[in-house]
Amino acid sequence: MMTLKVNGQENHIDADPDTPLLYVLRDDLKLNAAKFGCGLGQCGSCTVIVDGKAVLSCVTPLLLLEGKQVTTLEGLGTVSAPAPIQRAFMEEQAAQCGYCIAGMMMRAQALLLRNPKPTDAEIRAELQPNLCRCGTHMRILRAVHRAARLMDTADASANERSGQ
Amino acid sequence: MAGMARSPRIIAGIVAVALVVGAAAAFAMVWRPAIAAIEPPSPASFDPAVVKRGRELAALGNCNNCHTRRDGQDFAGGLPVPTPFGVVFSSNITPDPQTGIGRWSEAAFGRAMSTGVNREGQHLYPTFPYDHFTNVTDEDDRALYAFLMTRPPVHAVAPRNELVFPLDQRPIIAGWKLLFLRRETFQPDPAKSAEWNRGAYLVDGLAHCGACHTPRNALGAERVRAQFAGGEADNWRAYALNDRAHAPVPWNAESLYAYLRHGWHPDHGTARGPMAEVVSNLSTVPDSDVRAIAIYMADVSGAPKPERNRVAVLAQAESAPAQGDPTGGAIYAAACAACHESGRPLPYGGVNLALSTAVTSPDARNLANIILAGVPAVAGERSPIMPGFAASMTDAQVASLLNYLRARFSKEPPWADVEKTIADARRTQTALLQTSAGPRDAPADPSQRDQP
Amino acid sequence: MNAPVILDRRRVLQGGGALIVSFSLGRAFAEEGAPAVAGPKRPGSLATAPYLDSWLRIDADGRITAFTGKAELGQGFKTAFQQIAAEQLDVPFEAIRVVTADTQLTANEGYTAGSHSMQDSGTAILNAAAQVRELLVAEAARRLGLAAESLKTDNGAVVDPDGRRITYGELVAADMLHVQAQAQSKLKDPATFKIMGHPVPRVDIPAKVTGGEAYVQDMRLAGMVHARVVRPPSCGAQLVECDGSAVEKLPGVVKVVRDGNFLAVVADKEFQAVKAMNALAAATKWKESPSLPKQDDLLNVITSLPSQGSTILNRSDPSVSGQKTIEAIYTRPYQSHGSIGHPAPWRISSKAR
Repeated sequence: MMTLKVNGQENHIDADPDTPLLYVLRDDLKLNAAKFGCGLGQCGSCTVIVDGKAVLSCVTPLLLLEGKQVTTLEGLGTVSAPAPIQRAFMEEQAAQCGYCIAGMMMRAQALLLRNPKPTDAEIRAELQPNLCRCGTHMRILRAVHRAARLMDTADASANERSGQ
Repeated sequence: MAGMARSPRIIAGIVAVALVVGAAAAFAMVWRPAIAAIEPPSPASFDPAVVKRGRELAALGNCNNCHTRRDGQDFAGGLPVPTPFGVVFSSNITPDPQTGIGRWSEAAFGRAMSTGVNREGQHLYPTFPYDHFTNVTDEDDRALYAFLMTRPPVHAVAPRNELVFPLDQRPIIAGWKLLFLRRETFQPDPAKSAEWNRGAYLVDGLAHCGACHTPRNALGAERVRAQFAGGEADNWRAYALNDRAHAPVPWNAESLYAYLRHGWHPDHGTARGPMAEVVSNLSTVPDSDVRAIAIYMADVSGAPKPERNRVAVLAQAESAPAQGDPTGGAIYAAACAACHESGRPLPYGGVNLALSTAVTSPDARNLANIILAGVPAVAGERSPIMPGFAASMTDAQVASLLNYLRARFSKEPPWADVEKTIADARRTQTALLQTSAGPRDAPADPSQRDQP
Repeated sequence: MNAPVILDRRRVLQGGGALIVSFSLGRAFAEEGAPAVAGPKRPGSLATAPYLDSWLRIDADGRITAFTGKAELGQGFKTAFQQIAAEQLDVPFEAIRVVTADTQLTANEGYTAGSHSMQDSGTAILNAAAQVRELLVAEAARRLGLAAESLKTDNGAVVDPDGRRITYGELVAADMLHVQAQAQSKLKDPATFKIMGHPVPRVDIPAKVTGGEAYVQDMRLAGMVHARVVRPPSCGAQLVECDGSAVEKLPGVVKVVRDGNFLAVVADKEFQAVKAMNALAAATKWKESPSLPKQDDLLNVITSLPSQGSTILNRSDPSVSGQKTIEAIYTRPYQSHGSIGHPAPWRISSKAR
């Protein structure tokens, strides 16, 4: 039994310590966003954020996550109250089959957390480990740029509200 | 007798002459004339067949590895090359007249290759491996020149070198050359086959294999007596290639050929780090040259050892008792085994780690580098791929994994100072990944193959 | 939007209007094949599934459902079919719900492949919707005693010249839509389109970008267990020996399944199944015999297989003279049409119901 913090909530997980995080998210916590693509860390569809960094959940065993914070796409926002990155992907219609998209978004989110205004080249380099077979790449690029702008505006309006 | 007495004036005269002669000798040693600048020749003035040959030679010489940086243009230089004495930035070797070699004559190019002096007469740092290029024939230099002078010119000034005093003074290089630069050019060995000699010419010359695989002395020169005893490059260990190699299954001409040509071999795994860029280049050169290199290097590595074959090595690893760090074991089972014990053939399946030289190597650098940075896919190529674990593992967790792999898959003693190795790997990999062009860029671009 | 559309037969029957009498015949209405009547070919998949109620259903409360036998995998046609049906029926886009590939509810349209969804299924829905609209107008004309030509449709209702409205829900009755489609439909003039041809955000994207239920893998039923298949090491390998007894004792393992050369393991949790699969693979011996074509000569292997040619473009202009012929052959590597993740169909057995 181990305690795992996901999207701000502590969960008691009854799974072997070598269980990859992906199975815990999908099977134990019934979260949909992180996807099983290859199970080998080669496609990126299982990407989640751990302590601010993009991590491949299919090759990250539970035992590496003691005391760490896991964030999945569910933790960012909802359909009715989407996070900037979710709004951006909806507005740019940046998904075809969408199976890679949750992973793409989480890696992009990790990039935006440490680099709020990435260049096109920086986004391409960052998303390199995530594969999209449909060919939605140009929309994904546009969506990440849009997310950066939306986050900027969100920050600005938050600052205005708090009187800064 | 007065006549026998040494006149102070004579002594002074002798000293003066000695000083002048010495100074003249020193000057002669150091000073090199500038070679007159030329109008940049038109690309059309070069024979396409010679240019094509030059492309292959440039790939054999791995020129782009140092002279192209990530996101930079081909051969435009500016790549920081770390050395124990500071950072040297590679130069722009595109035919740009102001910042590249556009105003270099063929003679100036040939002089730089064979003696390490630029057109203006300045000595070049031996990070440019002219101690090997001195073996390159004039004919090959001519083809290389033709290839480089027909590339698109790029206006790019390399940053200033960051070297410690007095090494930032270029005349000092003349002294280094006096000590270490052998001027004799390659001589074929009539007792050996033509292929062997071709391999020797390439390995000791343009391909400059020893620049990484031979250890260097305190002054940064290759130790001739320890040729191919293992060196380093960019915080990667360049494994020993002589009879002291650590490969669990010894190399032979066949496996070397396959590895150099395709970047992987089922008995050894895949080429990583700077070697990945080398094999990326070697995939574009004539097959016969890669074979020649393999034949020569197989001879260097000594007589075949049939008892250490794949089956024996794997059987031994299989029967080894489970041991080592339990945390490392759990990480291995969850994060590594899905590929490395899949039994899927290379390059898509991971190599059985009992076959990996990274695990038997004297230090843990390469294994740490690979675990942290992974193996990125090569665009448009059939290539191995592995995720990096830098974001998901702490140094302590990587150490547990390294210790476990060493104990489980090799008979070697535990590595010392694994934590420091990991910290260094984290630091240098981060720096290198941001600058090195990596194996994905031209001229390995498949669409450029067989083009002049 | 986030909830998966699970429409079982009972709920369909309970849903409203009594237009589905054929259900009692024990056959899904969608599967009623084309009767052998001579005449012009019906457009799209109406040729093989001619009944209008295979494609559209209108409930007494006015809810409209469109059915397609094609599977939406991100092509976007679920959204497109919603546009098509809404346009031809003269209802708002939001008034239509689309049900995709369900063997109990939708026509059997075979594979979803080859970019045929729009031309086969989309054409069927287009024509079916237009014909349903005609039927509704005819029914209204009958009830009102007016000429059909004097009636219009607007926002889910038939409107007479005085502005009186009869909603589709009021008009639909019994098996009104259980009729075969005509070969010709009175399609709307594209110049008047309000929904088709206008961009609409895809209906599936919000769930996909928020972790909603969007894929078959996201469906979790009570008591569900997980399985993994032990793959043979090569194509055509024969299962020689397998001792599953130790694997069956592993934690969570429900069963080892062997059927000829097929080998799989079932466990309570997914990763337990993965671990058991690895253990089972290690305890299994296969006899391999090379059966794949030469991998380094795939181009010749593939091009020498029986094939059907098709013309992509054939345009000629006899007036052009002095032409120069440029011939080129383009090839690309063979790519396996393998899917990412673990695709699986759902079958809910009658016992489970």
